[in-house]
Amino acid sequence: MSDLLDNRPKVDLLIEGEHNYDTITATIGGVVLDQEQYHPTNKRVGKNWILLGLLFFSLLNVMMVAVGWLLYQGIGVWGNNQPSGWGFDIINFVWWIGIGHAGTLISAVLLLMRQKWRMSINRFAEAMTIFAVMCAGLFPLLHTGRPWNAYWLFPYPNWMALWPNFRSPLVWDVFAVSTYMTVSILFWGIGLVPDFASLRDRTKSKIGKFLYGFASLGWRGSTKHWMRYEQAYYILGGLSTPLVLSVHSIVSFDFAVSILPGWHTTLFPPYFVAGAVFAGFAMVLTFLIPMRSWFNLKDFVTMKHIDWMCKIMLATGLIVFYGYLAEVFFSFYSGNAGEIAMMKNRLFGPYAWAYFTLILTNGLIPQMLWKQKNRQNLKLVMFISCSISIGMWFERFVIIPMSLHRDFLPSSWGMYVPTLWDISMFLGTIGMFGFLMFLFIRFVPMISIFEIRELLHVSKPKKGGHA
Amino acid sequence: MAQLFKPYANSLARMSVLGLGLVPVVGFYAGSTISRSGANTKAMVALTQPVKFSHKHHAMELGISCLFCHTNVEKSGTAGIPPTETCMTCHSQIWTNSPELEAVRQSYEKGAPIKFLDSDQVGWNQVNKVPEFVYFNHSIHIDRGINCNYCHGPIQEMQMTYKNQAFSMEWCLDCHRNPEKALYKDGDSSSPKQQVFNLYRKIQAGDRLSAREQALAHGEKYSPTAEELAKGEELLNEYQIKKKQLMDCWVCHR
Amino acid sequence: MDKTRPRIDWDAVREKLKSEGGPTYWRSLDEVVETAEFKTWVEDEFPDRLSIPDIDRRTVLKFMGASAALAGLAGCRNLPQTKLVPYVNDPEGRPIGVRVQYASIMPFGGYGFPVLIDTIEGRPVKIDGNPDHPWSKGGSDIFAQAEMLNLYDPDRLRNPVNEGLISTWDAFFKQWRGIFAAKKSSQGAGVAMITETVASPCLVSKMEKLMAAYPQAKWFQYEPVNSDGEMAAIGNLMPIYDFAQAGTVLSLDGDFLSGSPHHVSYAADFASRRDPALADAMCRLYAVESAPSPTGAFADHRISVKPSQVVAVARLIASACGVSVTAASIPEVSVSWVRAVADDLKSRKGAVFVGAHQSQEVHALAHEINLAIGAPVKYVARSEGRPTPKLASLKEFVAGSFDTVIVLGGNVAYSAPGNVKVADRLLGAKNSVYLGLFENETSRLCKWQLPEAHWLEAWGDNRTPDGTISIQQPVIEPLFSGKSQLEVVLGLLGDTTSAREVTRKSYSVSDAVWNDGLKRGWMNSSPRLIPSFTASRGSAVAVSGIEAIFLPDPTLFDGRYSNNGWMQELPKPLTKLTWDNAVLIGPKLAADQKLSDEDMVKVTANGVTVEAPVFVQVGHANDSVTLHFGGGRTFGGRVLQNCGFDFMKLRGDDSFCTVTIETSKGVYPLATAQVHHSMEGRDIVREGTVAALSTNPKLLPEEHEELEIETLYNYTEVLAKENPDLPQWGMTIDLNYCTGCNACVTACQSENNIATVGKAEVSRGRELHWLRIDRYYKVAKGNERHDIQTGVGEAWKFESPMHNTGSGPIRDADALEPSNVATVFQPVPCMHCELAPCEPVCPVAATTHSHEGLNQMVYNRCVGTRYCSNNCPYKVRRFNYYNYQHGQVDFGFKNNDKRKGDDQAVIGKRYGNANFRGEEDIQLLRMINNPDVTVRSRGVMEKCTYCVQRINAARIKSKKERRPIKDGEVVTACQQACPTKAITFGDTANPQSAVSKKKKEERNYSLLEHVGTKPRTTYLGRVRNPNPSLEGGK
Repeated sequence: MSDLLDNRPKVDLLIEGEHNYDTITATIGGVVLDQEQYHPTNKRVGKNWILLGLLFFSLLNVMMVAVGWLLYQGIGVWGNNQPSGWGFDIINFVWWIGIGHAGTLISAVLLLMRQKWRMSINRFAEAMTIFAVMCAGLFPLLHTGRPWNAYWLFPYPNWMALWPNFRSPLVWDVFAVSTYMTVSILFWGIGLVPDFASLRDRTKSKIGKFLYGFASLGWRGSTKHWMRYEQAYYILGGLSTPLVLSVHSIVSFDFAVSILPGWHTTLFPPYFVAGAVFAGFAMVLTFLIPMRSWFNLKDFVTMKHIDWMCKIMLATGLIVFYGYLAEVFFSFYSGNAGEIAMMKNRLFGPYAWAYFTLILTNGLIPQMLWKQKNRQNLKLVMFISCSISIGMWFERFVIIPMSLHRDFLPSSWGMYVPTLWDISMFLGTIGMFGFLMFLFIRFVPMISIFEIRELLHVSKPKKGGHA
Repeated sequence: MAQLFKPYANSLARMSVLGLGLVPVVGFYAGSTISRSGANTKAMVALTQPVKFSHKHHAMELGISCLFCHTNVEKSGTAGIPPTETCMTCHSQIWTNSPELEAVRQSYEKGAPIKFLDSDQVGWNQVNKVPEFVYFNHSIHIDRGINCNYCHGPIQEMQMTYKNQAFSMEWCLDCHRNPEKALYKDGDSSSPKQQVFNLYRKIQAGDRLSAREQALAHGEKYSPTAEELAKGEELLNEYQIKKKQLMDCWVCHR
Repeated sequence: MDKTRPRIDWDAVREKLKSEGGPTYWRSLDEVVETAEFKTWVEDEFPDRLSIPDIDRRTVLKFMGASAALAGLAGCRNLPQTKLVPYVNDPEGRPIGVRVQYASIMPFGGYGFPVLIDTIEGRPVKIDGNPDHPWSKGGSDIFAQAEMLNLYDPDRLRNPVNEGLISTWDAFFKQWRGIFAAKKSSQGAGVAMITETVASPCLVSKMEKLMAAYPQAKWFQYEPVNSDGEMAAIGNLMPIYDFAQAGTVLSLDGDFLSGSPHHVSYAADFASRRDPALADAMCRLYAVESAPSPTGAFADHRISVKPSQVVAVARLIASACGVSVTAASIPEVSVSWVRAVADDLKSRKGAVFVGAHQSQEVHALAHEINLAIGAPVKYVARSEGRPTPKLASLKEFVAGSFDTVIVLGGNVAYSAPGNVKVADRLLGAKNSVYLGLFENETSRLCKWQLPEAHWLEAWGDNRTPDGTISIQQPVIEPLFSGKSQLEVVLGLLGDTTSAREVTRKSYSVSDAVWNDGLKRGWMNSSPRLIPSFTASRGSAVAVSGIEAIFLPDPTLFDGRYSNNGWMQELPKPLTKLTWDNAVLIGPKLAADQKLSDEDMVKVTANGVTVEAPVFVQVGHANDSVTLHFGGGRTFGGRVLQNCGFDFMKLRGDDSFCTVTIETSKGVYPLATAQVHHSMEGRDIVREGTVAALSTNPKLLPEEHEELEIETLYNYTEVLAKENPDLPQWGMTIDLNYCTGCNACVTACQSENNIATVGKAEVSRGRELHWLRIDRYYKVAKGNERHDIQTGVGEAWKFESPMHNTGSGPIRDADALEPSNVATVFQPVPCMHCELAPCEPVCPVAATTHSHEGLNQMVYNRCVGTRYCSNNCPYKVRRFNYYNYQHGQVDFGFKNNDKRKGDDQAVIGKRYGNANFRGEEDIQLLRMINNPDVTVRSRGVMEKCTYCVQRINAARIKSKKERRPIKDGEVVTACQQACPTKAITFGDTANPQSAVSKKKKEERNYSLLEHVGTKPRTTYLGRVRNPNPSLEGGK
């Protein structure tokens, strides 16, 4: 943890190998421009990249079919039922929103904390934020019985002389998520301006020149530009810092505000936020680790970066784990029959397996990160971050259907079973996410070039560096 | 190589930033205006009917009471369209062979519902319509002295019948939120119900009409004066109209 | 009428039929020729009816959203142009949109059930009991309600058919008058008429006339649910019980609280004696039964014995009551129990009721006891025509040889016991004709199929079992050119007078009297009382090993409602099974045979074997199985396709016999509406004994701590204070009177246009019933009762989404002893909470609170987030996952269906809303819809509205009459249907109203009070009246 809080940047570890402005631009920009002279050391886009891209693309199409069938038939094609009015739809919504969180945290909080090491991962994380929120946004829309009327959730003067019900957490969601989306895009876009400029100056193709030129809004790198840029960037950072907390807190209100045992708890906001950051970093690592090796970016995303991210995961993971334990404790401590029955059902009920999967993947496995050696073992880190992603999904499964399927009146108890269409919707969004990520990697520098250059300024690279 | 972006690109950029803010606002305004216009709502548009029936002629010029044809309007939720026999009560005597009435005669002879002569469409085109999930009850409105023209416009002046209102929820609520705006008493009617039809008698007899009655007669919007509103408030109590109740969803939707 | 009906192109028909390959395939004429005429057939039946607008309501609901989206911010404006079709001649006294009620009588098992029929624009939409008639007292039952759907069933026979070819009535009468003329010489030898019980004086007289004209002709009667045992015991007598007088009732395997419309008045009378205020005078109910029934569930003391043992119990009690009979004691019943029952019967003006299916001896003994103890039972002469033991009569037909057979109604080919081979006889006949509402197993064996006019379509008369005569007046023109049995008999007699005249003429009374009789629903007539009789006991039935008892299905009766979607989907009172019947066995037998729910077994009896799934029913007698007949119909409609299993094949001469059960391969998915059956020690249904009332008037459970819900914002008072001039609607449900008979559920379905969803959806827990009846089992230890333990966090064991019938090994050993199992029912509609959890969470304010305290659900505003349902602690909200109203089929279920040979089509018919066949069917089925209630489309939430349409109607009426709404002026559908008046509805703000009085009672409590929702619907605890001298329970 001390590393994280220590403000003095460990710049000497932030870049490895011999680098100057050109090589940096070449290695990072090269991935996009794909021009020999810009990445002499770089291998071309590899086969795995193509294959993986295709896989994601086909999954994306699965989603298209799933959505089409859903709109044609109705929610009935999903497993939702009485009593479980919500199932995969909301699970996936919350899961994706969570994944988005690392981006905001890195770009906003770490920025304001002057954490230099964020510079080599923020671009990547922000992109993920945006794509994750896109995936998440699909579900609230599609889970409604009449999606074509979903626009009624927005407040606008209409013929019915009606307004949405501002008491409803779902309306808060609408605002929270849309704000989150907007700010993330702005942040990302602004951060990209200088890099677009450098791409504009280097690309050969005319279209490329035009598009990058357009995106870079006539950036010439003058001091005035830099000054304005810094101002804008930090203001946005300030603006989006509260979002890190607000968004997932509000999402957690969907449950906390209700009266259902297992939902009705004040614990939710903090532990949802922690969980979100937890999940976010896991997903960043899941993508970053292969990318840095494929595109030879090990010099910029060093083992130290990974180490730090692991530590953050560990920290947030502990908060989440504490949440799980606290839930159990409070249920029994409350003496409330409903709460106790709910917890018993979690621990011993028909879905107990899901609960213990959650404890294992989210609670226990991440504990391996305590060891420095494990944090340096990329395969292991990869495994852990995957297990965390799974665990976070099960967390939502435990919260949503498992609380719903047995509530107050035993007569209305039932089971929740997803259908093929639930699953294909879920896989589909994963496809969409991955595909967007791949487009991003190909057309936008996945690491902020100018910020790495900035690092070069302050860093005195030693020969060889260390691994 | 040549400059990709000429200097004017900057001004373009600035303008587009402005536009970014403007477009949604304009689009929103346009959208709502268009959707409220007759183009969308078909308000004030007369529809073709199997028989070119003129309310103006029958109600105004001949002074036939609404109740003569719309017999249910006091009893039932629906006012009802007159059966063929009602037309024939007179038209078996007068205009017995007017081509305009061919459809009516055919219906009466065949004992089949009235239909268009030039096509196989059966029945009248519905002019005033609320969606199926809206339950409007004529009888209670008549019973509270709400004049036909409030909703149907200057019906006694219509040659071809058209709907005077789009019947948007907004519009219904305008009255249901402040019913006192619509309530009044003319001097010479024994009951609110009678007052409804008394208006047409007056119009027909050419009696003097109060400002409000004038507005009603010509289907114009009328904003009552302060004392008229006060009067309306009194009538609310007299008629036992509960404002709150009128705003409950289930008064119209079930 | 006929002149406006489109002509049929007969050649086209014949062509088509040839290509279709003859009789077996076609179902109704329009399938054969798809001409425009037939598409408009239905409408053209009613030239004088304001025709339904062309545009389909649901389509509008479904697409208007889309169009709204297109129209930008328009909201739903672009409604398609609709047509208004006025009358040609205005019918008298039938203003558009105003309900008109007619009194009539519904035939059931031959006898009549007096009803009132709501019609709108000449279209019947609702059936209810006739409150002025002693035989219904205003209540009704599931079958009376279900008749509504039978009337509009698209599967009804539509035209006379001769050997598979569309024909006409004229052709039929021409041919058959010929046949009869030819028979004149032989005095009608070889002519057989098969009817069900016929109590209609008119029809009887005409039948007799026919019989008189042809002395050699034979008249046979059969129906599977009959009084053979009773008639064997006491001859042509009909016992009429006056439960209002009974201080003790002993039911011997009899369910007099439900199961037939003729039990409605019994239930009402009985309930009048269950008022806890009566204290000791409160009626006490003992039940001896093999298969659990609502009556058993209601009983204060219930003994579960094998069907063949009932007679043993009867003997014991008879001898204890001083009837001379040799009685041997049996293990299931203790001496003390017998003595206690006998004493009560003697000292408390008892009455003994016997299930119709029970053996002659049980009936005999019961009525001997009744005579001995002077029970409040009056014996009247059976008022039906030619009272006949039904099975004997049918056998006589099979034994004889007839070349000319006329079957009027019924379905002998299906409902005859397996050992009576009716089919060959019918096939053998040279001339045969079947008259009925539907095609069925019988009709397909006859040369002629004639469409019968539904009783709502035809003139006639009928008698209630106590002999009172009512006129059956039609409320609608025959939908499908049907003729009533009376009309057919008249036709055969060559009598051309209309059924109306015949009916009218048969009563020599003045028009005034006649009209009065029509209006109130019955004519003056006094039944013949029979003071005394001697019962003959006959010989006992010998049974050994595992016994099977054959009973009519609780919702399908003898199969006549098999094609009725409402009845198929209505959860059976005890099992909560839908869309199937199963082999009901007790937990002990299940354990012995290692059986669990849905396991297929081979049931063999009388040399016949049927393969069917088992369903474990706690409280079921050991070593016996219950087989409900009425399921497993093979032909006669699309709803009944592949629903349930036909156990009638197994039946022999007696209603119970020895069976062998062997485990078979595989499981068969059953759909139950309730998965978990224990209250898990929660304070849900409160009950106690009348004795305990003095010490614990609130009937609080032991571990209940009084919680004072202190609220800063007392909504009850606030609402009342803020709206002093508005009524505050509320409801009470008195569990003390709920027999779980389901009448309310069906009434609600009929009143509120509630769709059926099909088996797949039910097993997913997606049924739409706004009002459900929860059923919990308890263990009775003496007079104490406790919940059945199911283990920590564990459900009633064995749950899975498709196999969720949830019974199986229970941890509570006591629960395995059948006589220990007690049952409680709890109807659960929307609670209309004053602090409704559903309201704040709806993002679009589609569900809000009215100033009259109603929890409003506005369908057209709902976007379907289902958040409200999640947040509803009572789970009473229902969601339209599919466009059920349009009969949308669930394609997902096929994979889970173990049954072989189910093609997609069949699955669609079976699991979708099976009453659906394209636009034409919708046109027909839409006529059943209550025009005052919105028909919900896909994707919206719906729930109980307290029948707000009735509230609004009453409000408008009262406002026009310048008066407040009277107490009792608003009656909800469930309240109206309830035979025992368990439901009270009214203005809680008015202290004088019935509902306020109910709520003031000590027993009044709100469900899940601790959640703090302040429900407007509250319950009154159930009070039992056990015999203090029977602490041991047995």
